[in-house]
Order: sequence, then structure tokens, then C-alpha cells
Amino acid sequence: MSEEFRRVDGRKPDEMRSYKIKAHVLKNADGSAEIRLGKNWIVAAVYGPKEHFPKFEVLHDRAILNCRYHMTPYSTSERKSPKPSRREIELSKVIRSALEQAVILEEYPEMSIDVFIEVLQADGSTRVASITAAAVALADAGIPMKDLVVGCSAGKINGRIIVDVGEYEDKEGEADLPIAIMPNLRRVVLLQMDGKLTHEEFKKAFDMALKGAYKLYEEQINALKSVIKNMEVLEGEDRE
Amino acid sequence: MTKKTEEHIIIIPGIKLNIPKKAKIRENIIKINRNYISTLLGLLHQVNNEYTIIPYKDIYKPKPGDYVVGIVVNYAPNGWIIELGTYTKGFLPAQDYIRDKKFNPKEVELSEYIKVGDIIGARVVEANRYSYFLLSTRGEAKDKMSKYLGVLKNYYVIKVSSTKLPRIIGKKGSMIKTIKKKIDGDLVIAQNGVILYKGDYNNYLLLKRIINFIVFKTFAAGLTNAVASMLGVELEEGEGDE
Repeated sequence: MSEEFRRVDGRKPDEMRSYKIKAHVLKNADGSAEIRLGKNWIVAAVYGPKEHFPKFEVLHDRAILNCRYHMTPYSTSERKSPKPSRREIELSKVIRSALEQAVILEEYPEMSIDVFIEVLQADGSTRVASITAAAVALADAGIPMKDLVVGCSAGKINGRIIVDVGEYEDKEGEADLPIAIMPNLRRVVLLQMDGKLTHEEFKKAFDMALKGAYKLYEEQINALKSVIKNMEVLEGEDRE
Repeated sequence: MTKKTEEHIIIIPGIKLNIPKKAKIRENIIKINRNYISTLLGLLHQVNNEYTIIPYKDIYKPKPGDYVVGIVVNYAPNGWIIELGTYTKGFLPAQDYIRDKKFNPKEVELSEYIKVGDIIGARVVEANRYSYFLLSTRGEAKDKMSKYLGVLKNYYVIKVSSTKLPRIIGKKGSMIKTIKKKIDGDLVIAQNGVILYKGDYNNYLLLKRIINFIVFKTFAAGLTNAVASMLGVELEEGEGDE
């Protein structure tokens, strides 16, 4: 195998796409964040905690975390029906389970917290990008959390393990391994696998995805810190 | 120009905090696997041996005895439902407000006393997690706020996040004293982040501008001095912050 292997978009196997996370992008939501990962463009918004309706659904010992993952009709190359598809319902559930591990829901019994994730443009690995953005939005909303949640995916194409799977690699590849972790507590909160990997390949893919997740975690920290730093900028504008 | 003090470090949820074992930990810090971990985005604040996180954004959690101001949003069979701008509403029992021993909810028309849309000042009696917060308008004899309990009329209302209130009040009330030097009138601060003002309209506009200024600069030091210079007020010795 030559060292010069390049992927369909010219990346090395262990190279991430360009990424940028911004927190507090929406005025009306309690907390919000935006992620650009390659051509992925995802916005997450958080509302709550607030009273949960219908009342018979409430949990007396903790809050309910509602999560909606939705792809806009113009997010894909062919128009996607706006109604929630089987895949979107599944991803909403998967993202909710990942975020539930980090949020301290016991602080708000009988309440609910809503997380809305809107995929404006999809380019593969949207579920892990959504989790990454949603965690930043939750922190921006002032929801108490044990740790942030950050996700990254790895995969296999033409017998090679790659990190940060793009749309083409997702469709044509042999395997896909999205993971999400709580980086400080060192816990895995999401692990899915599509396709087949040997034991060694799995280990390699997992390590690569882990490294990618830590890179995104740095960006999450920068995004959140800039929210507080921007308050000083606002003050400067206010003075002028 | 004000700058962040050195002891203020920006903290992200989940960050392990470098806190000595014997230190006292207060709000927004938890212990997991022998490590102190922050739960909110904010600034780490240390006073002597006490550590706390000043949150960037937090949700107001009422405590018994808190003075709150809310707006009546609905009638219950035996009282009023009051929106306090937090995660759940408050409940003011009719018997508490009407103060009639022979009170009978079947015979009384609640809207004759308090209408939907009225602004109410009340004390939190019970912050029960499993239902609405129980409110009361009966102040104790020594309660300084007793004249602000009940229906409040002809006030200008400014709503801020409850996390900004410590900054608006200032250390030992230094900020609010500075504001009151320039702005005369009735100024009431409720712990759920509602500020009421009764007085001149121009003063209200100035107050609103100052409060917005403080809200944007929550994490800056020397804020009282900045506000004093904005208002053209001279501080006496010992007032203001370093």
C-alpha cells in the first residue's frame, strides 16, 4: 500500500474536513449552536427547561430530553420530503440517548428540555456533527451538564480505514463507525457500526474517530469561550 | 477600560477544576471520581477558600423567602397562576390574598380581586419541585418589601436574567446605591430578574440603558466605577470595586 493514498476529496486517510463551530447563533432560542464540518451545515437550538405536556408523560425524578433531528428539503442533492422519515426518527432517538448521558436531568424533575437539530446541508456524518452542535447549544442554554458530548466518525473504503466519513465514502464505503464520547469523563455515549470490520480494523477505526473527536472538542471549547469573550466586544460596540 | 480579573477563568461544562481538597465548593460544581467538575459555562470565582462558578446563563431556581414579581396568566379554582419567567409557574392561593376567614371559592369571583395580566409581587413560601411554587403576599411585620407585596400598578418593568442580579446590586449594594444617587424614584429588584421602576420616563430610559450596559459587562471588573462615570456620579471612599 503506498503512503500517497488520497481520498475522493483529496484528503489523507487520517485527515479531517475543515470545521467551525459557533455558539449562540440564534436570538430567540435559549441556547443555540452551528457547526460546519466540510459541507455539512447544521444548526441546533435548545429550549427549556419548561413544563412538560401532556402531564401524564412527565417523569417525577428527572426532566425529559426531547430531541428532533430534521433534514430540510434542500439539504440533499434530491429534494427530501419534509416529513420525518424512518431514518430521522431513529437518529433523533440515538442523539437523545447520547445527550442524556451528559445532561444532569435530575435538576429539573417534571420538566422537559427540547433540542431541535436542523440539517441545512448534508455531507455525510451528520449524526455525529449534530451531537457535537447540540452539546454546545445545551451548554449555551445554561443546562447543567457533566461533560460536553462530541462525536466523530470513521469508516472503511477500498480496504483502508478513514476518519470523518464524507457523503461519497458513506455511500460507497465498506463500513461506517460513528462514535460520540464525553471527552473528560472518557465515556463512550454512542457507538454504531454499519458494514463489516475485523477486530484490528475496528480498533484502528475507533482510535482514529477518537482522535477526530478530541480535535472537535477543542473547537467546541473555543466556540463556548468566544461567547463570553464576545460579551466584551458587545460592550465595546455599546460604548461607541 | 475595564478588564477581567486574573482570578476569573472561563470554565466549560465538564472541565476538571484545579481545586484543593479542603476547599469549600458552592454552586455549579460537582464531584465525580474524586475530581471537581464544573456543570455550567461561566467563570470560576474564588473568595478565600470558597469556589463557585458564576454562570454565563442560568435558570432561576426559587428558594423559600425569595421576593419575586410575576404576571398573572390564569385563574385556578382557588387562586391565581403566576408566570415568573422561570421553568415553572407560581401559585398564589386566593385565601392568602383575600384574607377572609369565611372565604368560599364557590361564592367569590377571583377576577374582582386580581385580573389576568396584573403584576404581582410576592414571597416564595415553598419551592416544591413537584408542582407550582407556592407564593404569598402576606409579609411579616419586619419585612422591608411588605409594601411591594400584592398587585403592583404603574411600574415600568425591566426583565433581566437572574444571574445578572448580583452585578446589578453590586458588592454590599454598591452598584444599586450608585444608580439611586442619579435616578430617583421607586426602584424594586425581584430575585427572579424583574426590575420595577416608578418615576420619570427619562429616568426609566436611563435606567434601562445602564442595566443593559451592566448585563453586557457582567464578567468585567470595576463595573461600579464605569457606571458611576457614565452617570456622572462621584463615588465616596470605600464605594465601588477595585
